[in-house]
Amino acid sequence: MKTHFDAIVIGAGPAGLSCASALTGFGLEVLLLDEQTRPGGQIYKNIENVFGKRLQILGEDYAAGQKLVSRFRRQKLDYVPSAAVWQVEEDGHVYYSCEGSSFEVFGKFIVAATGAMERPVPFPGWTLPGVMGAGGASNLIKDAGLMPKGKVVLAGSGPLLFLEAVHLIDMGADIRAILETTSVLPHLSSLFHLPAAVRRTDFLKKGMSMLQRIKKAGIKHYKGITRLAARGEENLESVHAQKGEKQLDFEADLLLTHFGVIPNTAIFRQIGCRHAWNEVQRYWYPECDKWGRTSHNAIFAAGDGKFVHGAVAAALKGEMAALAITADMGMIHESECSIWAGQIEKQLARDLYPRPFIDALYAPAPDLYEAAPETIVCRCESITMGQINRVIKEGCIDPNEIKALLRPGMGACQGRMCGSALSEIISLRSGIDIKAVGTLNIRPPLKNISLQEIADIELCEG
Amino acid sequence: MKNADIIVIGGGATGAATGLGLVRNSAGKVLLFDEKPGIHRVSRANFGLTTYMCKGLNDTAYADWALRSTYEWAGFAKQLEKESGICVDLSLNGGGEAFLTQEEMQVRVEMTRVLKELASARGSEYPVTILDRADFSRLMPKMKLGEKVVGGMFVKGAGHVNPLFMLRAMRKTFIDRGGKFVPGESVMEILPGKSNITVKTNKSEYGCEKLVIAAGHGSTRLMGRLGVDLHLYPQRGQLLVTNRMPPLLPIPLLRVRQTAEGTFMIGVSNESAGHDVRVTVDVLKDQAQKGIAVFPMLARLMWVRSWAAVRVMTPDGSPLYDTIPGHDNIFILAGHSAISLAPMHAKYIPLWIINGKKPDDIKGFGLGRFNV
Amino acid sequence: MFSSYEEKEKTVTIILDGRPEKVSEGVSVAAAVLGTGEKHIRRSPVTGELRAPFCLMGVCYECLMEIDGEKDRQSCQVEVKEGMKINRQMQVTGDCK
Repeated sequence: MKTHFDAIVIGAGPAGLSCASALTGFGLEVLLLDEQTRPGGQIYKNIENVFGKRLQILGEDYAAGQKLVSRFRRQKLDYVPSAAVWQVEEDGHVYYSCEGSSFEVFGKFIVAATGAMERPVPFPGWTLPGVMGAGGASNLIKDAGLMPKGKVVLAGSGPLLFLEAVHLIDMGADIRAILETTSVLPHLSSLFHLPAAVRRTDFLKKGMSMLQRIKKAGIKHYKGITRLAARGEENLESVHAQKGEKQLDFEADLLLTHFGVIPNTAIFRQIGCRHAWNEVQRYWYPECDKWGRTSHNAIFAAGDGKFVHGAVAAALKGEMAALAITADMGMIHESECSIWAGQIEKQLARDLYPRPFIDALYAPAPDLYEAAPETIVCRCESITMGQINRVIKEGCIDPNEIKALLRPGMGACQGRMCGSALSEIISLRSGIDIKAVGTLNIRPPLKNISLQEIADIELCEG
Repeated sequence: MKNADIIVIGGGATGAATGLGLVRNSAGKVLLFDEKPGIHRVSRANFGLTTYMCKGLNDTAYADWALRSTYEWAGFAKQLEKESGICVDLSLNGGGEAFLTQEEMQVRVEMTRVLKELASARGSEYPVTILDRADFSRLMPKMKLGEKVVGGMFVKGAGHVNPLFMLRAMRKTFIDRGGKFVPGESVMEILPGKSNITVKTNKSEYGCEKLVIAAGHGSTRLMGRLGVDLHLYPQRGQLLVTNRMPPLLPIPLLRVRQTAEGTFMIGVSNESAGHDVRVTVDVLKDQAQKGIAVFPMLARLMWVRSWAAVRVMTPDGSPLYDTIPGHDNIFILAGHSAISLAPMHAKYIPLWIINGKKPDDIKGFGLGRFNV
Repeated sequence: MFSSYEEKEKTVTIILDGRPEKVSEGVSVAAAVLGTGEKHIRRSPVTGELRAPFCLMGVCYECLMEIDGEKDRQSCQVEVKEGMKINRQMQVTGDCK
């Protein structure tokens, strides 16, 4: 079995697919590892198997993924689906688990195109069955053609919340309310970015039409809500929030939340790449040059994992990384590389016109992490806000210290669901700038495997 | 200039225990500095054993010190839990080790014989028993032994604790009893003085009558600036942590222990890797293999976490407790057994610091022994 | 909580907690289980509270199930296969005490 490659691409979403395809197109030996069983990542999940009415509901933006996957299928490269990468070393060694066995492979260059995740925001009752990420519900549509039964409430902020609402309307779901944490008046900074956004009338039209459809469906839509809470005995029964002085209460069987998208930085943090803080959308991202090269020469980031820009930009970023790697390998002349890059950058610029506006418009509300003490922050270990507040008062201002004392981040998800919240909470309570607070240390395994599996792994020489 | 009676630099297991003991003994205004709880903190990354097993083979004073500490653990934990309200999950059902080869067993048999002889010669004891496979398996009826296990060792009176909870409890009690915890400041310069020492940090300046350095590997650079060579060196250990299980393993082994939360910890590597706290797949693989060889049921558990830490080693393995040459008000405390020795660091070391009389039993742990 | 939007074209039979269920071919185990109308998928081993999948993209680890004898598998990352034995993990190991 081949173990050494020119490049290993991790993630088969738009960035990974386009990167792997481009690299292979330039003649490089490529390995594409993806955790899922089918290519497409999250945004184009199951794209090869969605047709007819389901495809119609998911819309043309989703359908655009078909071209990417077709191109990928035409390439000759090593593709391993159901491969969960659990360790990436800066010298190019990658360890992954596939069907109960672990393998070690080596790439001269590594492209981590592991995408992004929905920002996990703790609120009372969010661990109840019946509360789910809006992206999760979207995945159920894509993956299995499932639609919600019963009463649905949507809560959070960001364009994906509206996209999900429109899908549900098209499926005939019973949406009781949309509860936006976004403030009623748009942030002033967003207006500053509006001129750039207006250059993409197609994008703005899409956004407007989504909002119009929601209005036409007669769905109750509230902005500037606070104190979101889910209640129920064993399952979700009702959703509550506050708008100013007014108390809002809804019976609900399903609460879909979305608070924006943040990069999956686990691989980069584990390697020790330098990260920068996005002040507007509040997330850490690996510091990269325009090609996606991180602070470690052989490690590249592509797609939403580099910075959240959406699927079209992700594919273009994958192409940029492929160009840089190919040039580094000496398999393409620098001048040719520049020409290709120029074309891609032009497309990228155009795609990104509306982004600063959208990012500012849907910037996370400053009180997003002000939740009641009984709120579970670490879902895996059931650590509450109150417990965390207590140790911060005792002088613990480091997320890893809090992890050591209380166990948030020690469960199965390795701090993916509580890490960003933990840092925000420390910053809120202690007054320390979030950039100085730091993040949870990441160490292998990035994905859990059995002890037998690591005991059995065959390692390359040296 | 902020003034104190005593400043302790280093809020890990050693510094926190010492600080706690100082405030318990009304040592005046005590400051506990904790630079930055970064990943180089071995106090947060250890196995949590409270044991005297195989300690002091070449140093009977250390053998006794370690044994006494193990026996003082119960009282120490009780008082600490009462004062802090934090449970430290101490379990003192004994400790042990499993032998996977006859060679391994023979080494320990010999070691145990020597330690017993030395102990009895000075009227002390070393209550460790070497067991054959059958007797060893009876110590842990719910855990089936692997085929390769030839026998084991039982260490009476030893046990394990949750070192993270212990650290939190010590720090909290220190603060509750009037100690001042100073996090996030780095000590950059120390200006010794007969009755007033100046400690300059990246943020402020402090003065104190006595200074205690207990900063782990950080002590090297602090003392180096004063021209004192501590001879400390790093030794890396890596370990794996599994998912939770119901209680199955009643005593901690050197290689495998089950925590109070139910997770299993596996690993007892010793590597020369400088101060690199990265984990490496080859060592983790080796530790996993050996753990499974001892208890085959571990094979099906999920590997959830791993970490590495760099032990603070002295050349002979015994602790370092001394004042630095020419300055009897500057104390250095270092060693790799700060968890096991926490009761002693909280009880006897502070008395020495307060009244300046170094107890006989720790006279041998001086700095001078390295300079031969 | 969820129902199928379309007719299930091709199906496979899985064994969920001992009972056979006909589910769509090619879907994730998590989606299949939710599609049968189940609301929860496990108990938190710490508190015993019922939990259900949250992110459906491999991040939250709420969808852990025993699949063909292997515990703690992320059911949203595993595709259903004919005859697959799927069990909910309801064991509570409790909090630290």
